[in-house]
Amino acid sequence: MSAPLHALLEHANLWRGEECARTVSALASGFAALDACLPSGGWPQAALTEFFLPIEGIGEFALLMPACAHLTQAGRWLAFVSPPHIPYAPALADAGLDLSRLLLIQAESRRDKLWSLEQALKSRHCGAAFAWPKQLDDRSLRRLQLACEQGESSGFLFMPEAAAINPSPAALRLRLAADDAGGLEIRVLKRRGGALGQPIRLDPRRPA
Amino acid sequence: MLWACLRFPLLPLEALARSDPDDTPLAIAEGATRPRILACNARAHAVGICTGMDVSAALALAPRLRVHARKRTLESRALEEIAQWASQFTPAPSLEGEDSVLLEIGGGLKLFGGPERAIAAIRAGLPALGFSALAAAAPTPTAALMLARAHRERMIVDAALLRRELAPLPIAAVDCPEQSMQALADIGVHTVGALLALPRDGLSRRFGPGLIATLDRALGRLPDPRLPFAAPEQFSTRLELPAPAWEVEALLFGSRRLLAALGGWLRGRGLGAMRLRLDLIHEDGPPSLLALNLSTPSRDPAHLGALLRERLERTRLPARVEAIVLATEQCEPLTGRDLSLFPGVEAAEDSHLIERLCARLGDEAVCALRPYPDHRPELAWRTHPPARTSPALLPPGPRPLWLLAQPQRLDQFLRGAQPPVALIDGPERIESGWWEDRDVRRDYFLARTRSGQTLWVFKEKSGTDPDSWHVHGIFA
Repeated sequence: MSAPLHALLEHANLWRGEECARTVSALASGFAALDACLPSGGWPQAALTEFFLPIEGIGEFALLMPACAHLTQAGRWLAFVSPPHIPYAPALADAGLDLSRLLLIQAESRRDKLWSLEQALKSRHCGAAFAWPKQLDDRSLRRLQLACEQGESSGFLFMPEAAAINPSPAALRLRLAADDAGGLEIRVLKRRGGALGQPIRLDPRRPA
Repeated sequence: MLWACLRFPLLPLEALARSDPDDTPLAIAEGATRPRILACNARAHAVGICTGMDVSAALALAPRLRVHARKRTLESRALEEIAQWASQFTPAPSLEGEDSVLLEIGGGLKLFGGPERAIAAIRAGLPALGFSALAAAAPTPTAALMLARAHRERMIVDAALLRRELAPLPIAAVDCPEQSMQALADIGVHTVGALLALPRDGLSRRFGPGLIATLDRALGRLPDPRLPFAAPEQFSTRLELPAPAWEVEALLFGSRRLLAALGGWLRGRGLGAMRLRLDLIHEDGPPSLLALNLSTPSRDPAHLGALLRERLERTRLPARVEAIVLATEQCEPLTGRDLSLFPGVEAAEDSHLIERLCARLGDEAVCALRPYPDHRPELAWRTHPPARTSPALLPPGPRPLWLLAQPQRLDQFLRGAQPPVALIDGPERIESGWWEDRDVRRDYFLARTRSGQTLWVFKEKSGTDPDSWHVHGIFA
């Protein structure tokens, strides 16, 4: 590398895309194919991740189980804020989660749900929090993103496909779809460090 | 021995005004026929009201002045609250007169890091309770009291210096009858030093043996035992609000005073609160009751205050509140003085999140899950309080991450919109529960719908509707 170019690269004011992507610390997803496509090699930590689903039950939650198991075994808490169904304890235990680190929060109103999610994300002891909102406005999303940064926790939101058109400050936005072989097709709508054209295909029930 | 004397010259005012967040002119009056101002707050002072003024004159100066009659019960209750709070500094606080508390701090000097630091710690804690004190310390309780009565915020550590240090005090510092005081002034005795210089037998003859005994106690020549204040086994204090209120901020302001006192009481006993009870007293009607349940013992007023705020914001009060009663219902040992220095703080903060959530959403809204040894899927899990470990039980076959609260008929679940599902795994026969009413006999399968959902379905083998298909879970 020539000396002038080298000097330029050393310059503090120069912004480099790949460096920016690496500043977000990550949580290994347990799927090598996915980690390779995510900036910094895993689920973003201290940031929000949004999933857009055509329908529930395509393996969207199984996709997070290896990371959840890792978090609980490291002693951090997981908070489920008003899940749509009962998180089934035998299946969670089977996925390797330490259930003593799990917090199930049943909030009634929209305001209470958001508040609980924010509190959980803000607490440094919560590694990740999950919520299933129909739609969230920009202001709420920003608050949640800020809470993630404050508590160094990962926020995961599962939303219907239609919500994907709204802009969002989330660090990672993924559209999930079932493929014909029973696997999952993941399209990256937004990630830090540039767009990704090709969808990722994997079997969410078989971490590899 | 080192005795600290806390004297509260503004006690008649502060006993009431300390629960009042808004800064409006307030005065306490005493006297039946022609009431006079006994004490007033800074705002009242600023508009020209001073002690000794007629109430009618004061009201002419400031029509918005709120005048309350002096209530001695409030004052003695406040003094007891201070003594309970001060039990963190000494095993035996004692009440003295109408406005003073004596604390023997000599035994704890090592713990607090010297007499100056001990006094500083005591003074630093008082504003949170809403009191301002004159603090003095001396080797004998009477000498400490004399310093405080003379408004000298001094500390005498060495007993040999007592006589020299007390000599410049005015004779008003000595606790003796009014007419003796007048007689002493008439013969030109104005300071304690001059009084000590008089012949003892003459003093005793003229003013009775009481005066000599008081001086001897002050100098440590006579023993000076004090009756320790016997604090009740459970903390319970009542705070009157100067004006009935139902705003959260106003109630919280008063409650924080009580929580600060509670913090001192708990620290003195090495305890943390597990269950607190707050009674909000209304003018008429039964009091509103707020219960605070904690998952780990705590005595941190800031944390307890935050929990209380959540609870108060969620509570609809039927009427204005005129008094607050805070009581402990259950306490547990909590050791360690500065929790933040030790790794134990992690567990404490975990529970802070849980307590905050419980305070706002209700205790039953926050729980943890555990597997339960039962073959029937709907009974194979339980909720339980968070942060308890449970034995790991692994299921015998594939289980979905979502369980439906009630099994749904497959056709209803799919709403007829989708073509038939494909069975991809199964059957797994689950047959159990014949010994009780909830008998189960089902064949479970994994099924995939055309839209890519994986469902946990079963074929009913018994009951009213055999061979019907139901959805019980979703492989999310």
